Amino acid sequence: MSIQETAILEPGLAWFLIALFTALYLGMGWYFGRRDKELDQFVLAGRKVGLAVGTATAMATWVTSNTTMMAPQLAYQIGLWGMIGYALGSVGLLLFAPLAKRIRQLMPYGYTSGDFVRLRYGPVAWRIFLAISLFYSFGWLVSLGMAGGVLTHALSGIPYWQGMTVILAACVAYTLIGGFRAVIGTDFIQSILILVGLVVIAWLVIGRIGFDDIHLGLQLERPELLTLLMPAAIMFLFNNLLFGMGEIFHSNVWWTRAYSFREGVGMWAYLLAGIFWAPIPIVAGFIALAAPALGANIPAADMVGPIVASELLGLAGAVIVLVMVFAALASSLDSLLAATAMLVVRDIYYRHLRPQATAAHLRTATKVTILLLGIIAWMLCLPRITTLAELLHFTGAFVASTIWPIAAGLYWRQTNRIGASLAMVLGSLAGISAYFLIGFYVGALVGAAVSMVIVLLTTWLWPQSFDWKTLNEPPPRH
Amino acid sequence: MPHRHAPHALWAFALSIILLMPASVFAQGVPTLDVSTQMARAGYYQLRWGLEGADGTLYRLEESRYDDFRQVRVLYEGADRATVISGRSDGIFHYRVRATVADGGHSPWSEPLMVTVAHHSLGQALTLFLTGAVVFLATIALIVTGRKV
Repeated sequence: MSIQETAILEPGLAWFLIALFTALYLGMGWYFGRRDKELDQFVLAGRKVGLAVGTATAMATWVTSNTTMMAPQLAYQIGLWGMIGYALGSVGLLLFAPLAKRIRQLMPYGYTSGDFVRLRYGPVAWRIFLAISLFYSFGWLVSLGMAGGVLTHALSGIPYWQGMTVILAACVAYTLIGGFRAVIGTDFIQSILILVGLVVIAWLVIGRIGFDDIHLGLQLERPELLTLLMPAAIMFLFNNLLFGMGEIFHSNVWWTRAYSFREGVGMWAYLLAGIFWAPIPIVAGFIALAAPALGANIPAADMVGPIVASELLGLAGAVIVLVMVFAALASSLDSLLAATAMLVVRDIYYRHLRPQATAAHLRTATKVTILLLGIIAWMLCLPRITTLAELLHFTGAFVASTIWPIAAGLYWRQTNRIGASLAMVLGSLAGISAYFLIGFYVGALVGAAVSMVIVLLTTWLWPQSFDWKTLNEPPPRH
Repeated sequence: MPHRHAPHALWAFALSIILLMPASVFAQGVPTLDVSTQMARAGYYQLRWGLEGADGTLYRLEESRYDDFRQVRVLYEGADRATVISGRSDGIFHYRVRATVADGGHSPWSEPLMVTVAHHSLGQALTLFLTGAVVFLATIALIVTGRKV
């Protein structure tokens, strides 16, 4: 049963826009990927990505439906700190900048984040890490697929499952056609669409309502959103920061970029992407705070951004939001599909099942995996079991527990494999307990804290002397 | 001995009210009303309502601080079937919803629903805030000084 009956866009126009941009991304996917016949080119764009494209792909990938739709959701649910806390997600990109440089130096022939954990901590920690990383990838994939359905439903009344299906299928199709070069090529165009769309909407919102009316509306209708001492919001602040760090530090999405950037590019690309990204959730979240002043009904918290923009700006606003959020969704979905497929193929299929596989075979396996990931994500998206924020933050407890094993593993020789394994398992368990006992806004924080204590204790109690050269594994002979 | 049965005129009046009510109201019954959580620890929750098999129906959602709804506030009137409440301070809130069908008739009110807003304690929030700050600063220290170790 639909929960919203008052949509701005005609379904026909929404379908036309989705078809138009799907065709554009498919065409670009074919264009960018037409020469990538070798495995290294298909999965890592030949390891020669420059600064401009590198910065754009890092920023566009981090601007997801989670930024453009979840930042408004969190501002609407927990107020000013929700908005500011979301912007602290940029810290993950900023702190990954030095890590990217070190990863490129230590592992010039690396493919996945799993390669690092396998070489640094051995098979047990590697398999724990793979379980966490794949679980997170599915959480993110499902949240992106859901966002596609929620977006089209909020703007045009198109049933959730139809919008979700078409947007997911479009992203799977062009990732399949073009590979990693198509992913980063489309990211460049998509980052421009996102930035322009967001600036136009924010400018129109402030112009049409004004700060005073927005403040008055909140004070009368939802006073706690303005208070800086709302307990859940205070807890959320560092939780979101650590969640973002966990996502970026562990996920193959960011490691593949670190491997694919030309030497010397990674550090600057991530720094610039973090700086450009930080204001985006503030702008997106601010739009949601205008809802009470507008008197708009918000049927589900994750629909607030699109609804406010379209209520306030009418047809033009709805069109801009659809194009912008579709770009944000696509820029992340394609990256995640490509990086997750690579993790599955290299760390599970190649390392566990088919160590003799040829490069051509692995390239085909990567394509089949992209398709399978799309189908599984679609099946998980169908029931729409929860809101975007709650789904994604559920994975936060797991990924935040990898921050310290990854960072200490890259910088400290003494950190050992038992400590890393225990930190990931016990950190995840503690985080998930906090998620259920307190709320979604503490899972990552508790997971990261417990994991840090375990890494510190075990490094101090049982120091090892790791040889950094172990990480410099020669490229596989396919 | 008191008369135990209603007079005939009263029965006739009740019967005529029933017969004159729009048929659709009987056919569709009482609207349902649900909430995402009855104990909101962060000041937000989602209310969902509906009337079985009644597309195009308009709904009126009311909120009250009293369980007998002697003072009410209309939170929403329209065709949507859910709303998100947020930014609420501690307190107890009561809700009910009524449907208006196509021929103008009203359904009865839904079963009332009670939601308690009780924010987490500030002490717990600040403890977790400080824990997060320590983890964050320690991670920066690790990255800045790590290469020397």
